[in-house]
Amino acid sequence: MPPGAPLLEVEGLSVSFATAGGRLRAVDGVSFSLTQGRRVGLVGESGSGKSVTAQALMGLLDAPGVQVEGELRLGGERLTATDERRWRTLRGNKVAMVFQDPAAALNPRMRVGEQVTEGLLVHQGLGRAERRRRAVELLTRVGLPDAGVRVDAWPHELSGGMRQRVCIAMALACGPQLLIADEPTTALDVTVQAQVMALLARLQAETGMAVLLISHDLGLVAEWCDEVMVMYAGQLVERGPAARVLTRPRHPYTAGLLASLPLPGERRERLVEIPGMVPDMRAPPSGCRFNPRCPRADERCRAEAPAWSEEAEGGHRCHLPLSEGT
Amino acid sequence: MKGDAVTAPHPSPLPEERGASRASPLLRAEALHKRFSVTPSLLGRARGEVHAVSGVSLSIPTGTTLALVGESGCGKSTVGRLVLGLTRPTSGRVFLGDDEVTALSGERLRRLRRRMQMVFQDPGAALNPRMRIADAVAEGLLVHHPQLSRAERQARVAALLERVGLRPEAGQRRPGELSGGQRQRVVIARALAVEPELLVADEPTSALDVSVQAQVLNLLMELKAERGLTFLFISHDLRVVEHVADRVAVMYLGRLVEEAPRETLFARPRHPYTDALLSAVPDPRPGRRRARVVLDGDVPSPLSPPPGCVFHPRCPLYARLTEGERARCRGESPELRTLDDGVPSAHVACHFAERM
Repeated sequence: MPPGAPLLEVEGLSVSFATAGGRLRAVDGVSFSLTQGRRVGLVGESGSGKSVTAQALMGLLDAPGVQVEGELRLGGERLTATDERRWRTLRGNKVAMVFQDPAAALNPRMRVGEQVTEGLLVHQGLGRAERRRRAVELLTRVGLPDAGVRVDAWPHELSGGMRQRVCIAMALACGPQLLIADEPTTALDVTVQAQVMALLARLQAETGMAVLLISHDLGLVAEWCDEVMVMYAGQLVERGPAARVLTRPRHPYTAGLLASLPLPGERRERLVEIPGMVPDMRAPPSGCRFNPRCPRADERCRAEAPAWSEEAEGGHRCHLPLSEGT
Repeated sequence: MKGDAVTAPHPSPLPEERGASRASPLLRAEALHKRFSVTPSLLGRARGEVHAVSGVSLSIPTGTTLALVGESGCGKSTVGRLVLGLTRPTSGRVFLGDDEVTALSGERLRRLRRRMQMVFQDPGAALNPRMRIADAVAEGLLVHHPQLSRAERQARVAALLERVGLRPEAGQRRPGELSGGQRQRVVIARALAVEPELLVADEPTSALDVSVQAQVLNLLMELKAERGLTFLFISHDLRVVEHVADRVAVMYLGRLVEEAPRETLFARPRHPYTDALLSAVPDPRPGRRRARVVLDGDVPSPLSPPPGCVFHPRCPLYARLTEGERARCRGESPELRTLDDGVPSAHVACHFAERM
């Protein structure tokens, strides 16, 4: 792969599920690319499609009733949702994932050391002693206290923060080029969240991997990411450098999200509300999907779905974007 | 609303709590302790006792909000349950106005509970999935105001639904047909139905989307102003707490480590744990965050809390002390005290808070 070429390219990704109430299009025409070594945040509320997008990037959507369209290229290689054999080689080796709930991500009946090196066994065929040595090494690298002892611990003997460290060690065991972290600290306390994000920052810098951080927390994304993508109702509505998107958003939804947050040191009488709620994806609004909640919406927004507008750095999906200067 | 629920606050018959404002408190909790015994588990742990709440005293003046802050397992939700009389303390007393919650049981406790209602994190679990919304809201009225006619009850329910921002048709729906934010509005309407004086809100917006959180917080603050409600607001989210609280109490491993007026606590935390908590809060404005203090390790198990100050094994300040000073942190549990810094209403439980 030539230097500077995108590590991951996603073009027109759409995912729909068969449900009792009809077909639900959870992700609708999402396109973006990720460059090696970048930290990119994917922000959205529940039902925005951010986690389904992540599952598509891990090849985890090959199931009855699920339809995946669009193109995915990882390191230049074109991938389809159904090539499970190929995905099995790529998962762990090229792209790995850390989930919100470390308790659910670990096998409760397997000692943590064995889980951490399970991938190594599959991919590199190591012996037992070597495997254990590697496990201690990996657990030490993620800052698990007393790794030499805890390598033999069961998941339930560890705290939530320690379990998430084990999951991170597991994800990084085979040196992936892309790590997808889906709400990795949402289930953790705020002081432990700070530890885990500091750990991910250190590992990202050491390995030069790209990280896609999926989160509902704009604060976390602001602090941690170089770039931000915002999803609403299955679509990407804004993308750009974190410092720009979070100070001068172009899309009214991004602006609304920012305004609705209580900010440290700036107490206001009332928080700015985004009226209404996220749409039912079985029957999304016509025109722009945000129009029923948007303070700027006019006739055109109600009638015509905005196309993606590419800008110098990033872009947006809005007929009436906020001006760049403000 | 009818006036029967708006009892004028009575002057406190007991000496004022440290930290109470001069207005008489609606709620007072005195030296609450709660121990839970732990039965032997499959994991083969020895039988033990968890000291979930250790000597917590609180006082909330009428019409104000006290936020109780801490991480999971610190005992904040247990304090909420003790205040409501849902759990009996091992020792200590709770007063609502002149009535001692901890001295009542049965019918008398039920009657007192009309004056204090709760809003929990998960509105889905708080509502019976088979009950229509209007019936859920009317339930408390049936119990506490049986004299109301059917028409009067329906009129009150309609007014309450409207007040919390729901359409009248929502009354005919069942919880499963509503969104999380709408369900939390229903829970709030149900709590308001009996015209309480105190609302205990335990993580009321934690399960909601960001865009909906602001709606619910605004609603709670409007209701506070409009009805003179008093709040015990339990939360792990310091951004929310800074927005809603008048005073803030911080808990760690079952103990209060700091209690102070909101502005004071956020401007200048006096306890090293509060300082670390505040610095860990992510700020969406790039470059605006406080210098981060990352604490090592996890919160210790409440089954075997560290001796002396329970925070000392993780304390960034401890690391900067002399060996003689450290011995004190390890040996002696600090009491809440005021500092000689011109803020007599701020209390901190740290032997060396002056060094912060």
